[in-house]
Amino acid sequence: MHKDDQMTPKERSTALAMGKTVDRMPVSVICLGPAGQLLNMSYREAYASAENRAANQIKAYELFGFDILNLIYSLHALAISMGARIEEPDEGPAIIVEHPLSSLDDLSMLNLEDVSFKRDTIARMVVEAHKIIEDKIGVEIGVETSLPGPITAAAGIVGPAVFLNGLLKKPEKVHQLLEFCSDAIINIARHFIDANLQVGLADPMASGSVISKTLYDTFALPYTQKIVNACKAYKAVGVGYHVCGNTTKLLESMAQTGVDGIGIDNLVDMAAAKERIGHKVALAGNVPPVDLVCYGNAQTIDFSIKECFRKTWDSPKGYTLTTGCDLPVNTPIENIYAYMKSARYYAKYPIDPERFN
Amino acid sequence: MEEKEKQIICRLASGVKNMDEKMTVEAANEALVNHIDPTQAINNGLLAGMNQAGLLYETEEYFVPELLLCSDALYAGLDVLTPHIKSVASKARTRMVIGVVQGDTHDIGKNLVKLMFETSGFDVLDLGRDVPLNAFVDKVKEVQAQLLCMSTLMSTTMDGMARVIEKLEQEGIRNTVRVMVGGGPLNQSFAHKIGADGYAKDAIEAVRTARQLLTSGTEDILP
Repeated sequence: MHKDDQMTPKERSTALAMGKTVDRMPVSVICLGPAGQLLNMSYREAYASAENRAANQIKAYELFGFDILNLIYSLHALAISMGARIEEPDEGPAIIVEHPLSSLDDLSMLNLEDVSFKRDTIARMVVEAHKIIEDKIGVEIGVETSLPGPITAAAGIVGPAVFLNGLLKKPEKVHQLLEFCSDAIINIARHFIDANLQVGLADPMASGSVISKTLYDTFALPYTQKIVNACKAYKAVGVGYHVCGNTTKLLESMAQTGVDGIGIDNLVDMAAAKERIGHKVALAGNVPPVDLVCYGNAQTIDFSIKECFRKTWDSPKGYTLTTGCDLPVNTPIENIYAYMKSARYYAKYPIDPERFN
Repeated sequence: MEEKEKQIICRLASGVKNMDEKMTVEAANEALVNHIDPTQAINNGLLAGMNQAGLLYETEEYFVPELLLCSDALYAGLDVLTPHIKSVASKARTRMVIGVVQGDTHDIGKNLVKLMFETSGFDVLDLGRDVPLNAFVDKVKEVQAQLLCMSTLMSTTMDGMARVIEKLEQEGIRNTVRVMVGGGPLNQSFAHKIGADGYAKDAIEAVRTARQLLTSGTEDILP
């Protein structure tokens, strides 16, 4: 247990579920970017093996003591399994240099075998890393992993420009590709669920900064629903969801996907999110990761956390403080300490709204 | 202007604005048949249509997919018309260098920014995506660019922009070029922090900001 807490994350969540009292509300940070820093190695090394993947999250728990660990999978997983040419910078996630398909015209080569768990080295590393974490600190804390949402997965296969063009020009082909991607994601998700990982979907390409609500409702919503339903039919699990950027106009649609919790990025007002979908899903968010946690200071971080709590602490289906999105690679560690210090202060039970005003 | 000519120009514009590649190409061919000056057809037709599409993007009627289709129609129209432009001594245009910084291959945003600059008459040198930091500096030097635009969608690569600006300083050419940055995770305060001259949240704003920056200096060479 972290020295500044009185309960472990698992004790806390069990107590909350039973309506018992806790030391504080759960708090979280999406702490994937700084993984290398935590182990004194490059980002690339920190994700190069199951051991390192486990080690950076175990270290994050030891240093910061937030409530959920996250084993990063890959938004490009399907494309990589299908043979995308990628580049792996030292300090950042892999980028796709050449997509497996260059057009939507020929989708006959899509084969679920090519994107199966067996073929997916990153997915297998995630499961292996989770075993290591479970053995070491599994009694204290749970681990989640984010699968790519259907839109992001599909855009990774044909390339974002071809994909976005296709939404308007070749909708039936796009549907075919999304059908394939959602089936592939469901297959991988089942392996994660079997491994006792909590699952979520991250779909940055479905952002309201990129596509309209009409396109979201036509293409993102049905396939996201399909994945969520399949996960829940497989086992009674909660499913999380995150779409980057400004999703203000998509909030109701996102809640309709059937997910249990939604991580809100920092371009959305948490007060609006609470009012519009707080009665349907649990909310998490949304301290600006770049401006404030990376480039800000203890004071600006404190102000933002206070704002988040003031707006969302009483959201009907629950609220977890977290960052709007992942932290940059070079986020100063002392800023994450500052974040946790303020987070613990405002999250302390019993909640006193006076603290936020 | 003749009624017919007006009609054709109007169809060029609405072809682009309405993402209608076929209509745009037809109108472009009609423009040639009717001896409309191709430069006029481009400026008052195609580019006007793209600017209207830009306004629709600003008011959130259009998003990225719609703009991509408008730009397809625009380029299809340009393919028809540009071979017929008689080369004349054009007035000096603002020369700019643009690219996505190393570590990132997301270039849709950059391509839209490039397009809006081109349609606004800038002379754009595109370094592409995943561009090594030195390549920005070398290109600015080589072509004596007055404007440098860098973008990234990933927070992991933002610091590269700061390093490019440092390199410009080291080379002693920082004050010869205006630097603008953009992309998902950025904002004005980040731009300020790394010593960039400007930030724009999207392709439409980028052109406006660039114009302001370039007129606020001493050497005002504007398209």
